[in-house]
Amino acid sequence: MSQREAVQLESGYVLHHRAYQNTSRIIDFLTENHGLVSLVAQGARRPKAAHRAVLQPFVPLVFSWVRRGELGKLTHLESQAQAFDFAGKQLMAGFYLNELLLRLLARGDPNPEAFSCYSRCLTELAVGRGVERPLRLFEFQLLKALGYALNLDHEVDNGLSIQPETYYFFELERGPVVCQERTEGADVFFGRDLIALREGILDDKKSLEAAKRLLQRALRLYLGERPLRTRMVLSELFGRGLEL
Amino acid sequence: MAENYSPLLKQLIRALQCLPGVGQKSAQRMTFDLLGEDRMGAKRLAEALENAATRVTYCKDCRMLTEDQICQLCSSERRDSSLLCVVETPADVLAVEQTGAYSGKYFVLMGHISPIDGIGPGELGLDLLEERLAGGVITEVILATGVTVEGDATAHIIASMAKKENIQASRIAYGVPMGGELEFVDSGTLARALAGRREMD
Ligand SMILES: [Zn+2]
Repeated sequence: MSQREAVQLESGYVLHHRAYQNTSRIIDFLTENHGLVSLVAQGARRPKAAHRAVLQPFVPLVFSWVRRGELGKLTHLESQAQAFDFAGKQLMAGFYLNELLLRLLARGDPNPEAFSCYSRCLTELAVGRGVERPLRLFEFQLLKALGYALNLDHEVDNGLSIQPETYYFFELERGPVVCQERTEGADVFFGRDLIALREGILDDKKSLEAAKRLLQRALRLYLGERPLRTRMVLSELFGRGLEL
Repeated sequence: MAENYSPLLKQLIRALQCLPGVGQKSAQRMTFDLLGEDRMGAKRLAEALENAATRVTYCKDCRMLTEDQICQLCSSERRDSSLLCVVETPADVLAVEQTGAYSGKYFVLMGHISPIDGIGPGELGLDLLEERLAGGVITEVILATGVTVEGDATAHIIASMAKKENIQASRIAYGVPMGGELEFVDSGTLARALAGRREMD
């Protein structure tokens, strides 16, 4: 038999929930110190369930559980702070973060760094100055937290530092190599934009687009062939010309 | 104990457990009630289930469950066609009807946006909703999706669809507790939530 685990008052967030049996839910939590944890919230779907109001995505929570094996049982739950007051685009961005974490984090693998990237990104989304910059910085930091950090410091072959006015070919899992081309292409980036991502600046449209192009390529490497569902729903909404 | 039941009894007990809130024990009790005292009731239930399961589909206008092409609410001339109340489930339609405070029409999404589960506009019939909004009759859309994160996301999307057609969109007011699904909210609270609805921007 696997060991019984009892964790008290851990911080975390609901990433996803689904109905389980008649009145319960299974909830995937991102926790500060225990990584992804799946817990049953018994009776959570009953009309008068105590936790209905707080057992939602984007609410900073504190909770306890007991577990033997894969699926644990939620034993205590309270909110730690006000829910992030997201609307429209912010909500969709939040769902995207949640799906990324569910797909990329290994279950039972503690990753406090991923947790702090996530909290930070929610806080930045809540500021309400667009979702693109917070999303790109999250993707960049998450890759680092997972041990897949992008090298944006120096050329792979000779260790020379990246120059703002130079064009680079970016080899995934390795890094930038100076290239002869003088225009950006699928894998060709302007040095200035690589530096902007590294320094977390990303304050103009061009560097944001370059960051998106680079990060999407890098993420695809670890996500595999199966596309992100949030991204599909988002492009369907976009295709309908819906401004969220 | 259960292994001593005959195959037909077992089958019925198992089938009854598809009902929400019904576990093994209640399914057994229902089975004995139906087959004991109330054999006629059991036959009526079987017949009603069979008829409904084969003939009930979705209303072509609002996606409410019905065996008609167009449901009674949609075809009623007494209802105000300029108001459209968007809800998640058929049970929510009944909840709003019970308040007696609403005389417009409905649109039933049969769920809410849940991007991680791949539930997007297509699954919620938003094409049909778009057609209705473009029809030129509706002047206000009342978003009565659940007061949950997913319900809010759904409301925002529909509000932006309404905006494209220059239709006012309003959200039921928060007397309803966060995390609430409409069907569980009592009539008085829901009536107040409807009356206090606020325009979405
Ligand atoms: Zn109808």
